[in-house]
Amino acid sequence: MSEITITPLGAGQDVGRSCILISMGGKNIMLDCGMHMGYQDERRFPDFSYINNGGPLDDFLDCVIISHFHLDHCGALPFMSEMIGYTGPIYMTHPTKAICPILLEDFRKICVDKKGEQNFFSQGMIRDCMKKVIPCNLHETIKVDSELEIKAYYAGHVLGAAMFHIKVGHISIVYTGDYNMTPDRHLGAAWIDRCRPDLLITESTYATTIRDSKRCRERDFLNKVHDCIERGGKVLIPAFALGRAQELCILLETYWERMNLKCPIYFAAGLTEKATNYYKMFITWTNQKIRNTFVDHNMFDFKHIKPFDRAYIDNPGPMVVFATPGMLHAGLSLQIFKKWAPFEENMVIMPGYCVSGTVGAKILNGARRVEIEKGNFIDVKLSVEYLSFSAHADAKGIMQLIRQCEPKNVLLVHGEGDKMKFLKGKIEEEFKIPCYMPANGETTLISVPEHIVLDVDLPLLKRALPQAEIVSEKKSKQIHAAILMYDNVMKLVEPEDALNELGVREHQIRFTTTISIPETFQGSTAKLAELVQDLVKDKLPSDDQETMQMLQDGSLSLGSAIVRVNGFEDDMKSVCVSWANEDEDLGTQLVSLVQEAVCIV
Amino acid sequence: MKLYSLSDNPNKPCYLLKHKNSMIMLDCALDLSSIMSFLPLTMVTSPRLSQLSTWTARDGAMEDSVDFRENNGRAFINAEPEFLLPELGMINVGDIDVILISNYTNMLALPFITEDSNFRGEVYMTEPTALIGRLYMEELIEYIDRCPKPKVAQKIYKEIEFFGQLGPFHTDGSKVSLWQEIYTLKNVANCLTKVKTVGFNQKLSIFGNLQVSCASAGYCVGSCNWMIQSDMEKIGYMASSSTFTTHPKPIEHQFLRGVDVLLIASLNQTPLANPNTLLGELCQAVENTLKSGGNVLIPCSSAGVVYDLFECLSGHLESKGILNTMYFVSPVAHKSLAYSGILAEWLTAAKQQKVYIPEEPFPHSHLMKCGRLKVYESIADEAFMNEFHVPSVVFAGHPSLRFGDSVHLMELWQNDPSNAVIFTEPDFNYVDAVAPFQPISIKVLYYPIDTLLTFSQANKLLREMRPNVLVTHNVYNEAPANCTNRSEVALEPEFRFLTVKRPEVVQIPIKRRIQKVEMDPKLADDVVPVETEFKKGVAVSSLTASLTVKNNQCTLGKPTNTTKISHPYGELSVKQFTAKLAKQGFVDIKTETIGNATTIHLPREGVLIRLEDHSTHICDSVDTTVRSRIQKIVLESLGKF
Repeated sequence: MSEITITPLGAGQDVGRSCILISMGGKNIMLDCGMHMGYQDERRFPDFSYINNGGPLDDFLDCVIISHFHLDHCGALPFMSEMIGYTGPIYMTHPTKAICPILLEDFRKICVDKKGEQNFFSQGMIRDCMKKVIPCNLHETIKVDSELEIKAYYAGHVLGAAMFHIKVGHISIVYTGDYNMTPDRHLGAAWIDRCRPDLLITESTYATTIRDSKRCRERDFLNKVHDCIERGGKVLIPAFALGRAQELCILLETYWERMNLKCPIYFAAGLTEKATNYYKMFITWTNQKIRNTFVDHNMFDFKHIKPFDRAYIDNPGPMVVFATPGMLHAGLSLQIFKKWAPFEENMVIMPGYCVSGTVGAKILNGARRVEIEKGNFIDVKLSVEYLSFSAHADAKGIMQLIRQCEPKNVLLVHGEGDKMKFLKGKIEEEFKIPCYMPANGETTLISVPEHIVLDVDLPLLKRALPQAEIVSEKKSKQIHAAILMYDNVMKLVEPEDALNELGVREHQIRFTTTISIPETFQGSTAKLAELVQDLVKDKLPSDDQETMQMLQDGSLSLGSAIVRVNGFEDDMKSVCVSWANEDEDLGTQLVSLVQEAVCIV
Repeated sequence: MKLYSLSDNPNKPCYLLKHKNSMIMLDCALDLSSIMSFLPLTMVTSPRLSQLSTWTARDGAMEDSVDFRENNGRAFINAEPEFLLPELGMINVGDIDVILISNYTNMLALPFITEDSNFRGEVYMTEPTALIGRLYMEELIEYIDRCPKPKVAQKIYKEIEFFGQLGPFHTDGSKVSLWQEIYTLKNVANCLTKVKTVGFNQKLSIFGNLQVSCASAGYCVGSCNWMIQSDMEKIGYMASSSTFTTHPKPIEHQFLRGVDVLLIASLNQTPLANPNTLLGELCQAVENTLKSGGNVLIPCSSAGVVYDLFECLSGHLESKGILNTMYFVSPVAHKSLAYSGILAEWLTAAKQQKVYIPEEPFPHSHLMKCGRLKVYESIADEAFMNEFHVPSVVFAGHPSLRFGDSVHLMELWQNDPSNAVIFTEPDFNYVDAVAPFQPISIKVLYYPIDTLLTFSQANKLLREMRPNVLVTHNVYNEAPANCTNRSEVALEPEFRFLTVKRPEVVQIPIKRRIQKVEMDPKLADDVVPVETEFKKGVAVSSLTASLTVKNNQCTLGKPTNTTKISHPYGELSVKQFTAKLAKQGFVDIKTETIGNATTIHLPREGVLIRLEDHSTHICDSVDTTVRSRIQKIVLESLGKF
């Protein structure tokens, strides 16, 4: 039995700080290397000292795979590679490689420039880290080394998000990262083929939710925004610069166009144009509709959405502002929130999931007075809306993915423990496969059956399966052969060939049993032979009958066995049954058939 | 393994490979050489072309059915152009399991095969190939539909063996009967629904029987070489590859190393020319023409080399202070440039890096923004008429000068010796291209930019790849009689070398001997390997198993009938055997040896055992228990597995 061991350093019964260690077939792989938004101390990053007992990471890790550019999946990467030290390969898709350094730099600026943190990774470190990244294309099989192979599948979620199929010898796992099983306004749905991995590690953010139809949620969102600006309020939408924001922009842009609205929409973070440029250039990663129409009309050329300036915060009148970061834990979105929160005509729409501890999570839980900085409390009077726009698979989607790839085991990460428990029960019940949900630092062990492959001589196979049957399916056929085992190859050959290969001669064992016929027997040899033949047809399996032949001297031959009636017409003495050792069963059966025949006659 | 050659043009490959019960078509290129026999298509009536005199064949048989026109000693058909299809008569299209396409220039015959036929297979190609291939097909249709012409009365000219004897009519007469008019847009759309896009190094299974994958060929965006693998054999297909650095992702050298069979197609058509030098000369010629107030027409395809031409030429002209606008005219020009901006994953590392900034991989959009490059669907566009200024450089299709906007520009500029028409595509003979326009005063220049592997590059690659068997079109094995350096003009057969031409089938000498079969671990638990003293390092065991086939994959599982069959070998020692019999309670054992044979008699049981050279014969009464006891002792006394 081979084994796969899985240890989440982050995202075990939790959302944030995704980092999962896998050991399989002698290879060690790190899946994602994220940070936790809910912590400001060292718990923000995974505990890398766990790996290799604090020894050098290079000695232990064979590769690092990053599923997408969200900071809870890649935020600790420069810290690990540059400050702890890792020089091995890091894999991610092209869009992730393009966008990830921008978000890292954003994050770095907030931590270092705004909060004055020391001992943080520098801009140069982000650059050096990205140099270690090997970009991968969808469906391309990348050989990390001679044994380890990885392959990326489209995951939806955000631009460039991928699921990874990882294979060492015959053992394989799939890691989903974050994914979305329903196409949205700018991305397609996640898809994987029936790769039957030994283990599927799936996110389970929405383990218990089954979301209502997308259209309803969109209409809901637009109505809320429209109502708010009608009454002169300001709408704040905290979002990541890339991802959800683009989808909401497309949504608002078309709505504004249709309703002929004039109220300004701003997109902050200074990234607008740059971010949108990424979408334009990676159009092949968006959904079919955008790809088909991009030549004539690029969906990301927005007419109504303009860049935001800090001075606009205090502008009178209604406006809609997109600002980063998405969880209101720092930066511009928090700054705007601070100004707008005390007025009840305003509104904040949280379009995504917020990790606990952030201001976003607090107001979503209904807090009407929150601590923004140490000792600085503000009253929250504006209306708080939550919109499950986050592009994660819901319970239905997760089940659908399991059905698609047919894993032998499932392991849940990136979700809340209680919700996971529910989903685990559902998976075990519906698919009858084991499901695991380790906590951070807890190691799960999964055994994988051995996979044995033999080289078979083609003539042997062709004898067993006549041409027509190679095409026809699912019919099983019994074969007998010999296995020759060399150092690292096993060959299936005809037994004679095995004897030749060993340089020995077969020793033939033959049995001959003579059944005497009672004196009272009346009848002819021919009649007896006929009777035996009928009994054979009646009682023996059809496989044995295939070889039955009547020989010229009236004997019956079946495989190596021969049934002969001795004596002449009127002078019968006995019936002889003779067979070779390998047809022992047949021989014994024939003997009893002959005895039966003799009795009948 | 069999290979059918369906195309006669080594640069327009179409092969069919039959291997392991699978039929794989390799490329599906359309030979465009037939269109050179037609008169150019014009959108507005050309006074000159329409007044060409009618040409009559010697026997005059065709004049009623085919409108032949003569110009400058050559005859042209005045009708809608037709195309030479791959040889489909020797195969059944319905048997094709999969078609592998290596790049967008090698797929234009696809709708002829997949549409209005019993084709049921799938077509594999990379995403850029599918995107740009579609543009090429749509462009071809648009060029022809734009200028309706009478269709040739097919039946008449195809029945007559007539074209072979026409002197001034330049075509291979024997193939005329295979000509067909172009497919429709609907055919193209339908055909492309059968396409499955694949990534480089993506492993695809063909009914579990064979595995195919592709890797970059370095020739154009998304171009690839294919590998077809079974458990034991590897077959490589290398068409249209390039080691020359332009914009596409470089060729993956290792990919086809050590294949058993290698099929090579589409090598360089101007092997002795250096594209870099020619590109320099081209830039110089454009500079000179513009400086002297002339216009430059570059008849070209709408994707590929043209991207590099924009980049090089704009750079060259800018460095010389010449800021004339470049015009790019084609019904698909916009789309082609748009696609080139979104396919960064398929480009060179340098161009990929730009996308991370993010900047467009090619300078086109920058050139367009600052007005140096202007793009139009047709010269009939109102915008083109308003914005066009001479002297200028116009890139326009089609490179054959038989249809497209290049025909009009040629007519417009052909009489001014300060103008120049520059041919860069090696697919068409430039002398044939200008033949219907003769006599002309415009400068005709030929700078073929062919980045395909030259023979010397291919020979070098072959020495690294070391295939067991090399298969190519027979022209690649033919060096001209007076050549001094064969390696520059033909492939050097260092390996087993097979050649094939249309319409031929070659048997490729590859014998499959072994197939991989999976074994259920439960069955393996029952296997007890024994090592014999006769041969060390090899263990052996007999195996009875049930063999199942699913998706063409064989699996050995636990059999239902579990009787163990063993294979004894060697000689039986009489002494040991009788001792064992005695030990097992047999009495009165009588032994008699005559020569090599020994007879052992067990009178009490009525059993006679005859031992001879490598055989034991047990003759008994009918007592099954006695028999099995003896059988057991015999087997115990022998070596067996």
